[in-house]
Amino acid sequence: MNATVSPSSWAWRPDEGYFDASVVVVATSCLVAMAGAAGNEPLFIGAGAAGLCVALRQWELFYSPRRTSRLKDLASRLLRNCGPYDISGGVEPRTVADENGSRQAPSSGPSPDGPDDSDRQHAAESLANPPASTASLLAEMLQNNRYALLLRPETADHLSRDEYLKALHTLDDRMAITPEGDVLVGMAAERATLGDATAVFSASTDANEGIAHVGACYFDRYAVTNADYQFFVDAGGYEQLEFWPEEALPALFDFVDTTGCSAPRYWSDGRFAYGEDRLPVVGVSWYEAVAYARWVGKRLPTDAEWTKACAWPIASAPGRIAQRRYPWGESFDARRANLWCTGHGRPLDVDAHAEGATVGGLHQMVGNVWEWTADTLDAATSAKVRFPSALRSIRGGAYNTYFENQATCHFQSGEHPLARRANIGVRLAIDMAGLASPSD
Amino acid sequence: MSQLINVPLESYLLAQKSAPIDCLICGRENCSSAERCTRCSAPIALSRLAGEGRRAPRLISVVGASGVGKTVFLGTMMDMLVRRVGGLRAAVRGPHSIGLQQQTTTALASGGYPDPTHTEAEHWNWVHCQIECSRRGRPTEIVFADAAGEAWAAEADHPGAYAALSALLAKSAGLIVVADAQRLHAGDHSDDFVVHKLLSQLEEKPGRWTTRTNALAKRPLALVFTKADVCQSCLDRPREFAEAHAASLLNDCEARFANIRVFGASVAGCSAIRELNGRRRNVPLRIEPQGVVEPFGWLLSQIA
Repeated sequence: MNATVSPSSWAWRPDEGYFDASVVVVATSCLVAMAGAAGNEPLFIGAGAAGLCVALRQWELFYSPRRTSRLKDLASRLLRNCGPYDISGGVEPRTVADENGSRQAPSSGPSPDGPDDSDRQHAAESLANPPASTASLLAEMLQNNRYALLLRPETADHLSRDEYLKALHTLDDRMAITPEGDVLVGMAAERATLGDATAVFSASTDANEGIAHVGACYFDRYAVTNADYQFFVDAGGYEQLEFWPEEALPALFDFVDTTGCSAPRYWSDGRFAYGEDRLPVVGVSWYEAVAYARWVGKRLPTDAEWTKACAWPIASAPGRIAQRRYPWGESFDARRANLWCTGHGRPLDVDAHAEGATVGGLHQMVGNVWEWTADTLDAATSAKVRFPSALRSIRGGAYNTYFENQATCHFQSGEHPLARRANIGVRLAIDMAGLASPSD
Repeated sequence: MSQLINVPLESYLLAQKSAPIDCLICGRENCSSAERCTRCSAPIALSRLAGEGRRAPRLISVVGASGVGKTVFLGTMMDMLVRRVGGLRAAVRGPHSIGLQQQTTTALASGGYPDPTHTEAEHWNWVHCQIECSRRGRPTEIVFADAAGEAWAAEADHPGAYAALSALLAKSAGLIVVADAQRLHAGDHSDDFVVHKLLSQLEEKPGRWTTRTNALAKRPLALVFTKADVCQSCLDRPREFAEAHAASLLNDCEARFANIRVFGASVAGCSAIRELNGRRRNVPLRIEPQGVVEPFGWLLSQIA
């Protein structure tokens, strides 16, 4: 599947049906040059050098165009098979329909749920290691957790029923649905639960009093793990600029691990430490979370969506909503979440504390690591309150969260979008409306 | 013409006068029923409790300028120690020892920082606790005060202005010097001078420590950079942070003390300036203590 030219496979390529004669030329030239050097014969040295130059030139002409054309052929073939969606980014189409049905470019500026310049050309450019066939491409995308891309309506049209069902089963296995409905946010949620609204300060203290309506969406059952994120790093996600918000591009050089490789902060040589594959990925900035989300065809959840998925509210009457303070109920239970008081002092595997899962089946929404959301603190606060620095919202608490009242379903904190903390991870969502239905 | 008046004999008053109690901090003789020392305003309960034990408690000085975060650091540390952390466990002695922990955690849990410590000595929080370390068999009795930064500054400018601080510096078995990593990172070194002055005073004090050869220099000193959440490198490599941003402070400490160690600590995971109705206020967005107990644990290992 790998089409790059490696030195160990230069001479004979039975799978591709040609013999590389330039290897013989190189070897002969080297021998002549060495003999000339040993005998102090300038003529032989010159002949050997000339032979080397010819051979190297031949390699350049022979390999580069052929390799490039093969890559382009393969990429275009894949694009034809997969239909009109961005296979490279798993992102929204470049154009959106306005009210009149005409197509227009989306508004510029950072957005956690779509890149600014996704283009089908990017697919060809980004496919440095293209799979040999559509089947292998599908398998690779499923393995890399990019199944959400396959379930988009424009993509699903080009899949067979088996392929579609396989992607759908993967989605059901790894994500859980959060139904459409209303959710209490901010201090309204604090008052509705056991909290003391006058005593607890959240970043959204004075804001968003009341009820928010959110649409149906899928949430990852578990936070993104190191193993999940490794696929993104290995696929060159940090080099594919189309996934990154424009304002993050100057900071890309800072998104390196302990050895200077492009990877999460606490990794080494672009890899996570042995035995940490099931730990949530941490040390990633908000921009890295957005880029990864785009790569897998998902997005960061909004604050209201996150709260709804965690608290699982029930509208008992119009305007009357009952929701939980913690995913399991009203009072904190140290056996159900990894906070400071549980004494672990570090993140646990994403499937630990299974008894603390939400009603919908989401694990560790509370505790273990904070989770980036798509919103800013300014968006969640009233006009009277301002945080001068542009902080992004985080939710859920972490293994070192000291107070239990700061790890509730509705507590909101913030962090600078460039911060790469050891206790902030990622959980992604996708709109249910954005998925192809089986009936279609 | 004189009148004879019958005055009842208050025997308990006589008893008090006959059994005075010396202040643990400054040594002033006080009435046993007094609540605070008439000279240094330290709680007399400290002296009473100290008298009950076989060994005198060890005093620790926590030195720092105003606003560097001493109250948040000490209050959080006490709350963590009471909840047992890192093999250390504290048992506070006396109700007066709980005030610091209570004020700090109440404020932090409500999403704010505690009010600044009063300058008047009678409002300071004193802590007397018994520290159990899993690696040592015998618990250690510790006494320290959360004094206002303004008081330390006044003591630095006018030695003896606060009898309690003067006595603490002279008698303490170990020192914790608190510096603000956020200010140092921003290039503000104005707080350093308070520490410089206080440390230089130690050489002049005729305390019991200076009568022993090199006793002063042998006292352990923990240099703690608070608010390190704004600078991750301070938490990861505090020594390098000190060399880069607080070289004069580090050099001064090392010149006077042989046993010194540098720590980074933070209580808030992230702080922000919140503007409400035109008034700016620093608030913690979440509480995630890091490196808070380590300085105290190291100090205990050195003095015990």
